[in-house]
Amino acid sequence: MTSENKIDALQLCSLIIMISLSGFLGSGFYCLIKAALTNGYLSIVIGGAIAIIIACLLLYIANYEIELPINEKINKLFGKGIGVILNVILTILVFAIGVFFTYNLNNFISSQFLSETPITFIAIVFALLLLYVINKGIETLSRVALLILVLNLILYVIAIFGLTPTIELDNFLPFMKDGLSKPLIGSLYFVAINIMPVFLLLIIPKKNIVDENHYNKFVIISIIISIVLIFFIFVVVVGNLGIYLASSYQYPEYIVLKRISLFNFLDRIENMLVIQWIFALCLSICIVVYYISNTIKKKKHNKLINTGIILALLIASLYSFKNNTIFNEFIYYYFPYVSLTIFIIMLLCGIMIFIKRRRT
Amino acid sequence: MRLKKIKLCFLFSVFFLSGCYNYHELSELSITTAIGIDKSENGYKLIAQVMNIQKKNSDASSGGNTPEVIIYENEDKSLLNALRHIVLQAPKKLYPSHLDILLISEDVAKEGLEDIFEFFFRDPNVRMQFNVLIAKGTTSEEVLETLTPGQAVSSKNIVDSQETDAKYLGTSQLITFEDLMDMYLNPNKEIIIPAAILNTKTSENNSIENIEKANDNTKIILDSTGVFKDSKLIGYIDNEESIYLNYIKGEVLGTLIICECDKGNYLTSEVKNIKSTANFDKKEKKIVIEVSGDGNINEMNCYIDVEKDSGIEKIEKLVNDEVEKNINKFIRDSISKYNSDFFSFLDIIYKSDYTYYKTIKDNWYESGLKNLKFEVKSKIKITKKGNVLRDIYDK
Repeated sequence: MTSENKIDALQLCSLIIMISLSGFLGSGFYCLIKAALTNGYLSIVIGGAIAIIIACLLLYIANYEIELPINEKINKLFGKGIGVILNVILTILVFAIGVFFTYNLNNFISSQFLSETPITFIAIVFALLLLYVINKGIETLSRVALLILVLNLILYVIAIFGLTPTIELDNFLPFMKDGLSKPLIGSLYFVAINIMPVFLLLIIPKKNIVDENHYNKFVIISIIISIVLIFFIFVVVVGNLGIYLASSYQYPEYIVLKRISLFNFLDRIENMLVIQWIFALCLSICIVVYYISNTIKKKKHNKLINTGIILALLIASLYSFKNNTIFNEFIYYYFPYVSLTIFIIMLLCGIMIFIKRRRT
Repeated sequence: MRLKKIKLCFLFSVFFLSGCYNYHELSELSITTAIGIDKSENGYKLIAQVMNIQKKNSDASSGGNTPEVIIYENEDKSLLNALRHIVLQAPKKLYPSHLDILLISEDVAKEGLEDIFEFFFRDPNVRMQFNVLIAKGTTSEEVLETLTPGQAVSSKNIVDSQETDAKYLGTSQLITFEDLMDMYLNPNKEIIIPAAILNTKTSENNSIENIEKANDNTKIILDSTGVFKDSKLIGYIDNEESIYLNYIKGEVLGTLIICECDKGNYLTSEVKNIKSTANFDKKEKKIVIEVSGDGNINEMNCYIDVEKDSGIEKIEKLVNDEVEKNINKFIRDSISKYNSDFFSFLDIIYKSDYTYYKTIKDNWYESGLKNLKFEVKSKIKITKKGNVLRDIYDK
């Protein structure tokens, strides 16, 4: 990681928001609805509180040895032997996150827009695009992320504005009919799918952030913004569709956009509004590739490594899951363990940092 | 530099190729405005009403009268197969993304709607915002092939009719396919679907002669609402009862209330800005239906002194009593006749009092619905008397 790869705190925020949002399309929403039903909004609130704690942990790690990325911090904390093992485990888990994002993106495009086009073709087109973006480096990527965040927020506001008048509050009743257990489980799913992948940004050392004095504040604020955005998405989807329809559709966040009719004449704008999800997923995949290539870290063959990683993601996403049912089952039953392992490793890092600081 | 140019060319061609892959010109598609499903010996008969794009070109050159729509039909066990096989007769592939209505025949509705739900629910090309109706006393084929005066495309005629009715009369509820799916998937609700009939059947209903006459032609009329139990059609409630059902569901925007003000004389009040809610009173374990709105005195065939407050209050009492009496009677009669919760009372109880819901849900139709207490409170205010200050009978 060179000191030339400087990014703004605001650009970092946009990356955090994109990564958080991208997990919510399709599978993230499916897991939340399945776990918490109508009280999913409570899960997001509870999950938000847990997310702040996790953010504090990640900030604690980020503030240690600010010139090093996470993989080098792990080597320094645990030594070469255990450090390499942990880095390999993390890389595999990050790869799994990348496969999740890639499959989600390709399946979404294929099932909703291009149902007659082979999914391989769609995957190749996106892979080429992402390869081009990631080869430009983290600075370009983060600038693009900031621009896209502005566009996404505009589209988001239009969507919320179009859907809020048709929300039926009755769709959220009965309130906590099964007690707090289901919202709690839902909150854990929310954290596992939407918040935990934010750790990917630890690959960018704090030293590389231009406004590093406000680093902590910006990270916390951006996580809170993501939670608020996801909260409103859940509310408008369930408020408009109802729990039964929302849990039946593959991508209810897209389906609900079909109901928008702005000023009684602007119809059929869902395809424009859904671009925000596609952008978020693309950026998240780029960050995954950036993480893995920086962990492998061969300066000479960087572009070749990026190509290899994207190719591996492409092949894994096409062949790991035969259909969407298997994919949703994987996300519901196994992906939380991926996030849990990442959390345990981060926690161990935090504990090691704490011990080292006490010793010095 | 050369490698960069090659890469750029490759990217450029990929992006353009991906845009051209499986590209469909608009002229290659048959825009389907309505689909009808009837029962047949082979399973289902699928009728597609398609826009006649050739019509505009041929009318411009020949000045002839060709219909705005073309009807294609096919029979098969599978709905998708029936729809797909229509390409054997139609020159273009059917494009159902602009569907206005889905018409289901009585026979299909009586057997159950699950197959239809499956078919439309899965297809990503179909938008779920089209209206659903039952073809009452006829087949959906006869309804769709009827050329309607006033509106060239009969499916549009039906949709416009429903929208106007919902605003001014309140008999017809605009049930979209998505609403229907919500009713079907919700275990606490039963389905209701508005129905359409043909006022008369002639041999000319599907020809231009039908729209060349001012009267004596076949028209598609919205009539009654089909009520279901376990997704099977069990009967109909008439137009007046449909209004009362829409009161309970909070779907009435405006309607007319006719009440007897004197022996054999009636008063008609148009009520607007109607707000009706149905809630569950947890203490008394009863459904409370509250109706409010602003009423006008549109027609009064008896003498009531409307220059005094007492006169206005008397009219308000008449109107409110009429509403309460009719809704009460409708609920009681419907429950005893159909024993089907198409009012969605169980859903109201589920959302208001989950504890009580758990005790009654297993015996809802055996005892719960029949013993359910309900109360109707109507608070319609008379705000306008029309263009006059006093009753014309007061000479």
